[in-house]
Amino acid sequence: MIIVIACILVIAAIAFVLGVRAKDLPAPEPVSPFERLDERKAAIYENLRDLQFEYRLGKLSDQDYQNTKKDLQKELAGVLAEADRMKAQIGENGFVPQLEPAPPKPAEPKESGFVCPSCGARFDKDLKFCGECGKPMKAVQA
Amino acid sequence: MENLGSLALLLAFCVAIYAALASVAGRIKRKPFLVVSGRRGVYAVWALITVASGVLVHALMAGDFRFAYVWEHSNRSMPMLYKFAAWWGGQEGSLLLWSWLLATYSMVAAFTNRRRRRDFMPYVTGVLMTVQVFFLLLNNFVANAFKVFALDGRITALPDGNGLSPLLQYPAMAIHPPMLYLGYVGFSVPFAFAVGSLITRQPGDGWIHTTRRWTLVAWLFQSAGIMLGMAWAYHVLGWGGYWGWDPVENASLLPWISGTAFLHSVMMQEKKGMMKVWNIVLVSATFFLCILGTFLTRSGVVQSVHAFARSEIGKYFVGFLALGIAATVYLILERLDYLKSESQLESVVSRESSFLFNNLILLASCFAVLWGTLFPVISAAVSGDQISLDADWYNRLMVPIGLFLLFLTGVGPLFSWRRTSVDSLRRNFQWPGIAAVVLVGALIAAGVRHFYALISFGFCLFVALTVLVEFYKGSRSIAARNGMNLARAAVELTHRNTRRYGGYLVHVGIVLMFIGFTGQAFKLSEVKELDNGDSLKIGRYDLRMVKLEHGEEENYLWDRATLDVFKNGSELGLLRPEKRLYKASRQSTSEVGIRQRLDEDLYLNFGGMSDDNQRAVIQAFVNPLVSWVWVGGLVLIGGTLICLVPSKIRMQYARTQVLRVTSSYATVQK
Amino acid sequence: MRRFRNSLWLLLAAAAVLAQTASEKPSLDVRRVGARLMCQCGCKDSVATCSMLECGFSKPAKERIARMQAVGMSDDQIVQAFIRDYGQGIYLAPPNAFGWIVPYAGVGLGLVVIWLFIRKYRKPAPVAEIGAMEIDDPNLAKYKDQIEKDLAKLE
Repeated sequence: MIIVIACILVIAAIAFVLGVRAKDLPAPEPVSPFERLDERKAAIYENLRDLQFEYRLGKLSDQDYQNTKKDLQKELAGVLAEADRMKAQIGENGFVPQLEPAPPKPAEPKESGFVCPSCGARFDKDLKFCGECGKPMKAVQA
Repeated sequence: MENLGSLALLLAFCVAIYAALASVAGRIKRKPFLVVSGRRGVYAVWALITVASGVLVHALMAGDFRFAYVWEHSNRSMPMLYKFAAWWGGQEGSLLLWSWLLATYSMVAAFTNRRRRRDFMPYVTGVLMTVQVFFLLLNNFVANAFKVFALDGRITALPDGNGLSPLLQYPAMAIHPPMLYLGYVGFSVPFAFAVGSLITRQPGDGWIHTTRRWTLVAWLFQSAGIMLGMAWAYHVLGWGGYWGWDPVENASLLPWISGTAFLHSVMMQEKKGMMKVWNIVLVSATFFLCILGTFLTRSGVVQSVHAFARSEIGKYFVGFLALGIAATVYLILERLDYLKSESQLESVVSRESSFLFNNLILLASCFAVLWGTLFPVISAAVSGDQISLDADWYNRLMVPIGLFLLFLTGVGPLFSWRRTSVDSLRRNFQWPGIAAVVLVGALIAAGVRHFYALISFGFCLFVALTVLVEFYKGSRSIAARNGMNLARAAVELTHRNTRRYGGYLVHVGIVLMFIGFTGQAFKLSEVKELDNGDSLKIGRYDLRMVKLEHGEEENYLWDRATLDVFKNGSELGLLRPEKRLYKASRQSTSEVGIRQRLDEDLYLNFGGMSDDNQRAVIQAFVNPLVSWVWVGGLVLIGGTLICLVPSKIRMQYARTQVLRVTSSYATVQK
Repeated sequence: MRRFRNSLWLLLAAAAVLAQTASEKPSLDVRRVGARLMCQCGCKDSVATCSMLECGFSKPAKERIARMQAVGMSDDQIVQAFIRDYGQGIYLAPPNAFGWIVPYAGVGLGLVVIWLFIRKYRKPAPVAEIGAMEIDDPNLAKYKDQIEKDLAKLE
């Protein structure tokens, strides 16, 4: 009796593990190349929401609120720009740009020749974030 | 039956090896057949270990005394509950429970992620099954629960068993080991995801999002297990306290502390993409501390009341730990470039910094406990003298650390992310700070002179007020906007961000527990030999012995004293401390008499009979505020449960469209 | 139980009267030696401080220490005798500097690591800018409207 049960157990285990049929294979899942950017975007939006809420509760001084909000918005804009660039690279069809680019602020005149420390791109304006790679570039001035 | 159990375990061992290899090979060679087959291996391992555990539990319940394990850890007169609990009453059984829980977790992890994270799930399966193989190795070849007695070559049953250790025959103790194990084992899953993510160089924090719940659940079980252990020590061991810095208690505390540090520092990664290396280190450390905890409990390397077992098992654990740690360290160093931080610190005065200090203090306390626990081993290796550190050493070291941690609990959430100006600090600190100072002043005026106690009460009030203000301000804002009453708004507030407000509740639980711990500073104790009519005075209590009895039950002999309790002259009722001597094991236990109140406990222990056998030796303790430890524990568990509830507000954000494959709106569930 | 206790009592009665009082009210001498021996009852205390009454280990141990002192054995000899009988694990040396320093050194090391971390990741102090929120980068400015729109949706 025990021997029969034992045999059934062994056969069942092996059959279950090895008996993978073609229809058991999962269909390939669509992977968005933007997943990472979307994640970051979500995180920044969440930070912004928390920030607004805390400001409304009076936990933050005006100055802290404004500074942090600005930082977050810049980061967000960086992420959005990165996404747009990826879109352009992919160049997929059927994509309709939803954003109307706001007119750029008039650039303040400043001495030319700012170099991004990360990617080496050159700008004629003192940018906080590199327009090419999105990394902060305030620290180094060429 | 024993053959069936052994066969199932052996088969599980083989299938687990196959599952680990097949998953990883299938991923490397891009053969989906192998990956799916590896995942099915995980299910099969679970089923097989379930069969083996079922055989063992059946033998325990039915009293099949052919099994050495059953004979050793149960007997006929034990209640059914303890017969079942005997599953984890001994070495072999508890290792089987470990295996079974790990298989269960692995199965759930593999099943829930069967269609997701396809690029690194095979590695997760591989890691989990490697750990599983190690434990099945122990189950099969080192500590097999299916050994049977044989006489003259024939399997024989013995008439009756030894019985479960009487110290374990207590409801809290019956569920304490599985709770702790659920915690220990639970941390394997985040660890496996972290390793899988590291091997495949996943961009982003996928492993953190996926395992957030797992970590919380493991932490919840671990907390519950530790609390149950404390309650057990308090009610059963009879020495008037709940925490003795016993190596096995420490073993359960270590992963809890590093897990707590991990729960905090992941926020740095989620919010700012910083401290990625550190989080991987923490989750690995927590996992290996869990293995170390099992090792300490099971090997008897550091002597302790719990370390029942002194077997060969130690060297297997040491080998596994050494290999595992070496592999993890290599992997982290190898992938260091990919773990680069994404952003910077805007200011030193910020939430980020407070997390750094929180991690420092948690890790320091973890290290101190680990150091103290292993010190006998270390000092024996260094100087040849085995030096054991007593509870006093731990208390002197841990009390200041604990108080600083309590302080951080209060101030951490007051700092805002990125930067906090003096103005913001003043808004948040002013009133709670003033209140705390006033309280300390009042306590000094009232005659309290204990330095640590004053600090502790001050911090407790401070933290409690900051949390209260947080809830009040948030609820008021919601109430004003939505026209709700304040209580309803508080629920709404919590529901909107369960993780944050549940976390605050956990902090409240910690505060309540600290109030209980602080009560220890004012503990009173008294010992006296009492005959009928004699009385004992302790604090405001007068105890009068009214009856001294002796008797015998099926399992044990007992001596019981009945004492009439008076407080400030008025009668409060009877307490009946009892001493039991279990016949089968010649082991004695205490049934303490406790009058539990929120302000203080009166705790009576029947120490034994006096030398002339005429009087009872009664140990009396007054433990002020000790009940708050249990209340705090419940609040902590409640807060953690709230953290597990999905938040009501789910962030909706425009998802970048790609060929219209994904839905245009994604939901981030917090 | 009673028979067991009686036999124990007989055994103890054979010992010196000195020994009996040693377990009830241990002298300073007994305490001094007891503090260097770990109680084996599982209490994590020393023989001198074990708080379990009728402790199966500390009580006879205190009596034994008293007897040994009565015959003039030195503290070290007594401790050695216990180590011989119960193994090295019973020896409870006072925590030496090694035991104390390392945890504090750990905290110190952690502080250094935090300092290094802050130094490495600290952004240079931003120029204090208050006033209208604006994104001063023309390349990013075009996203401003969208961000504002999304932010309004958050509440």
